[in-house]
Amino acid sequence: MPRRNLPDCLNPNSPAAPWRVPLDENDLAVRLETDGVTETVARLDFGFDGTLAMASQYYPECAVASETLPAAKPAPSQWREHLKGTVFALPLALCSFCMLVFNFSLWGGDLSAGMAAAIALGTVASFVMTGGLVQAMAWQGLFYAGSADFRMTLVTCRRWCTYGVAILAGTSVAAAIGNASFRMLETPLLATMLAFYVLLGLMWLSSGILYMLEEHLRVSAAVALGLAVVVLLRWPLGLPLVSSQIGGLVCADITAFFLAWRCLKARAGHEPSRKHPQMVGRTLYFSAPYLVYGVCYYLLIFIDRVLAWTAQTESAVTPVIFRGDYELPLDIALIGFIAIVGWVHSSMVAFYARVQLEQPRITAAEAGKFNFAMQAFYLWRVIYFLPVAYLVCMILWIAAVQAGFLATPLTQRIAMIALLGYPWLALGLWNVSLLFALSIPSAVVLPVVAAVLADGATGYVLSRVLSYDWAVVGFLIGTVVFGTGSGLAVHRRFRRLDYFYFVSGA
Amino acid sequence: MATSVLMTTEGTYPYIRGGVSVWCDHLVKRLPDVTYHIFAIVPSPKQPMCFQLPANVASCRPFPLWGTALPGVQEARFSKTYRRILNTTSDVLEREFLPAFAQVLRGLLGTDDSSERLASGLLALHEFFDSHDYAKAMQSPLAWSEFLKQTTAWYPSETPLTMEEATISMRWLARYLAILAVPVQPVDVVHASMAGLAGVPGVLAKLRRGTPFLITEHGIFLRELYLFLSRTDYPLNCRHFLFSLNRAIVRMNYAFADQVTTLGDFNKMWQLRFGAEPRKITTVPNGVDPSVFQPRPELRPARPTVVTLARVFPLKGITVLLRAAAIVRQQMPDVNFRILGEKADEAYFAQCMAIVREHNLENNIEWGETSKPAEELPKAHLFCLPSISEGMPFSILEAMLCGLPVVATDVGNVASVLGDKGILARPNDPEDLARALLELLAGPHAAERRDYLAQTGRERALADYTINTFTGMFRQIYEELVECHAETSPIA
Repeated sequence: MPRRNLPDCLNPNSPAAPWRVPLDENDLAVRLETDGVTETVARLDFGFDGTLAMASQYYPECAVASETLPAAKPAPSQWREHLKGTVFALPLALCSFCMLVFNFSLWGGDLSAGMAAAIALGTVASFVMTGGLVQAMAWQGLFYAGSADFRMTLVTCRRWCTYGVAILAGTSVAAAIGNASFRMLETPLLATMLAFYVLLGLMWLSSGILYMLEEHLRVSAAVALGLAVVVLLRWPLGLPLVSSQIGGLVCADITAFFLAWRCLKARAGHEPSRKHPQMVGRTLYFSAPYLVYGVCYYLLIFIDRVLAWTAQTESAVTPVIFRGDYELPLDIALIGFIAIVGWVHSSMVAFYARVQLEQPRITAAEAGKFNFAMQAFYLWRVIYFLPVAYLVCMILWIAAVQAGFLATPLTQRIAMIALLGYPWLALGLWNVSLLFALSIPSAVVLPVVAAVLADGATGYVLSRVLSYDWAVVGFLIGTVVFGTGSGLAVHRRFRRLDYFYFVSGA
Repeated sequence: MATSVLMTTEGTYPYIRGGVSVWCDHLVKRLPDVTYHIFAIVPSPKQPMCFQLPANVASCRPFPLWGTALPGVQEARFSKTYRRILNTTSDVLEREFLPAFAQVLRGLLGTDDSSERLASGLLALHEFFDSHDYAKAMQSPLAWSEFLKQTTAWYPSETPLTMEEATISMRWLARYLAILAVPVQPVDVVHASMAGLAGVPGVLAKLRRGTPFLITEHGIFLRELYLFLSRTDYPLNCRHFLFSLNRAIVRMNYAFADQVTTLGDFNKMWQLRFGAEPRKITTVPNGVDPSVFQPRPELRPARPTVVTLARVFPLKGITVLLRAAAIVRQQMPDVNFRILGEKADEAYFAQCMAIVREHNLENNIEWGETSKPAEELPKAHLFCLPSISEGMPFSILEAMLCGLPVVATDVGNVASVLGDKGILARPNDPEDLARALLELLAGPHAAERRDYLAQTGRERALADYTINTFTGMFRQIYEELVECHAETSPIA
């Protein structure tokens, strides 16, 4: 007869700790020992030869007991996640809003044709030149942030920002020398272009850090402050628009960098710094797909504009004409993109939720079943997204026409074609997010390069043969190629998703 | 003695504090004529070094299991890595990598329980990774398919392996085996301070060059793994896999070791249970420097004080101590418990703080850390170690030398160290621990009893557990291993 109560480890219903089925008799013996059943206690108090003998006696019934399972996480709300994803585009929405209300923003507005063209070129160049760097920085930084190694996140951001500043400075000097030789732009225009190029480039780098740290509202705060400064300098102080915008951008840059650095420092806390060699070759090799993607993505978005600005310029003084009636409908179409882009984030959350749902209930011997379930998930997600996205875009287009923002057939047509492209762009972004999450960045390169080529080739031919506004068809074709090409890449990988999912976290 | 030793550690010296690290530090510093190379398996690359290495440590290489973008070795020169990546083609993987990987998997799962075949498979992979890329091989579809093939057959049909479990398990394996991509430098002896993964370089060196291989175990690796797994949320099949993998490695390490040193009979019993050969096991108890740890009664405070030196994490049983403190406080409202040690597990520390609040112990518990235990121990009336698992804790030996009576749980070799010169309590039993503490704090002859235990405890420690005895024994073991190797080596 035992002289004392059985220890908790033999009681699966014990409230003392979550119960875990023992792996074997030795496991139970160890648990008995830590519950105070030493060899002597097992002999004297329980009448066994020792702890192991006692464990062997109780193991069979413990082995079939059920475990206390950790509570399942509640399913994420799709609407909340969609809104979270939309916050990503809030700074863009703020700029679009200002443009519609004040007729100017952090960049662009009611300017002379030459000045508008210079700013437009600077803007596009800043996106294209820093896009790849921001992607590569996010890839490396997110890895370290995910490993709670915020000291290295900070180091990584500092390095990529240094590369970014060097590239912005180097290309600016090269542009200045080139312009001095070929006299393409007058000096004030060149200076304006380079000012916007550098200031916006810095803005994308700093906001890239904040996005990576999921501090979306801080990006919006920096942009809002910049916009407030522009308004302040423009109206009460009466400064010229370009000077006001430069002032606003300087303010936004300083704020964004300050916030980004503060966030990084706060997370790195008191972690000691350590030596970490740059390993440039390794970094370039592994980040190359991210660099290519970042550059190509912005080319895909902006190449049609550049083609439109450079078409039919024979009678113009400069080789670039900024065309407001091309830009306005694109800005309006952008609102449609902002409305639907939250789907990318909510779809990523849904993807992980589905994987976590499917993986525990499908056996490893039935890997094909898991892959099929995830392919079906992907397909259904796309099937319901495209019609809904088109519906949203159509409503927006009708509203914009009714409100008089799209007053001419030309602007209506451009907005309509751009809106036809944005759902494909969002689809492409989801595909890219999936491929990046599965650690297959190289699979993104072909679709995005093909998309840029299709966009450029179509836009060039149509803008030269018909008229400049037809460049927007290039955008539509490019986004369709991007969405379908990346979709095919995803579909191919989902056939072996079991394998790719393993690799993504290995 | 001009001997070079590769000391391998896992989650300890010189990056993480604790008993094993103190042991390594003592050994390395007390044998200045031995050249040490340290190979330290650490959880992540962000681990800062927390011990100052003496001049006889020629090199120290940390090997992070996690926290690197890819498993394997990151070389400074990318050209070398790139060549490896280029060499690792599908053909090569199928021809050279897959057979060895399959053999290793069989060994790790126990479907082939030959330690020799497991070791030869590991060696084949180690040699393969000399010129091929580890990450590309282990993350190849071939490796994944082979893993699925073998593991799905291994689990019983009633509890088949799920996709989730397979994914988690293979990710573990890809990280664990990355140790095979690390070159093992030529030395006279490989000395593993743990019987798990840290022993693998010893087996590889033994097979490649016949290097003598010594294992020293403090806590029993597999025993502590059981405890760790019993507290995790990993699914059952994952726990089975992780245990099987480590058990196979430990058995292989025991099989290839020339000697296994142990701290006492309790550890020896478990080592034998896990497959160590009795003839290879030598008992070498830990030792402490008596010139550093000395009684200093003048530092003893007026307030009744209990001191505990332990890292704050589950195996140390701090929650049990806090519950015992609540019971002691009922009889002695002014009792003070000083718990000195790194907060190694934040969640566990939060649990501790919840107990402190639950029992209103704020005025009775003092948290802190110290790197100078010899100065802190004398500032108490007795020492308490509430662990639920231990090897041979240094803190008990230090307390004995400082003339402090000891109350400790009956775990590991604690009973054999204390004998009748301390008071034992049942592990994980706050009432029993409180009973033992009160016996020395508030019993009818508590003061006399404390004085008696303090004096006899110190005498016992001076007789059996000094640092000179312990380092002397290791010096002798190194010499014997080197001599033995020289005699059997074909060159000799």
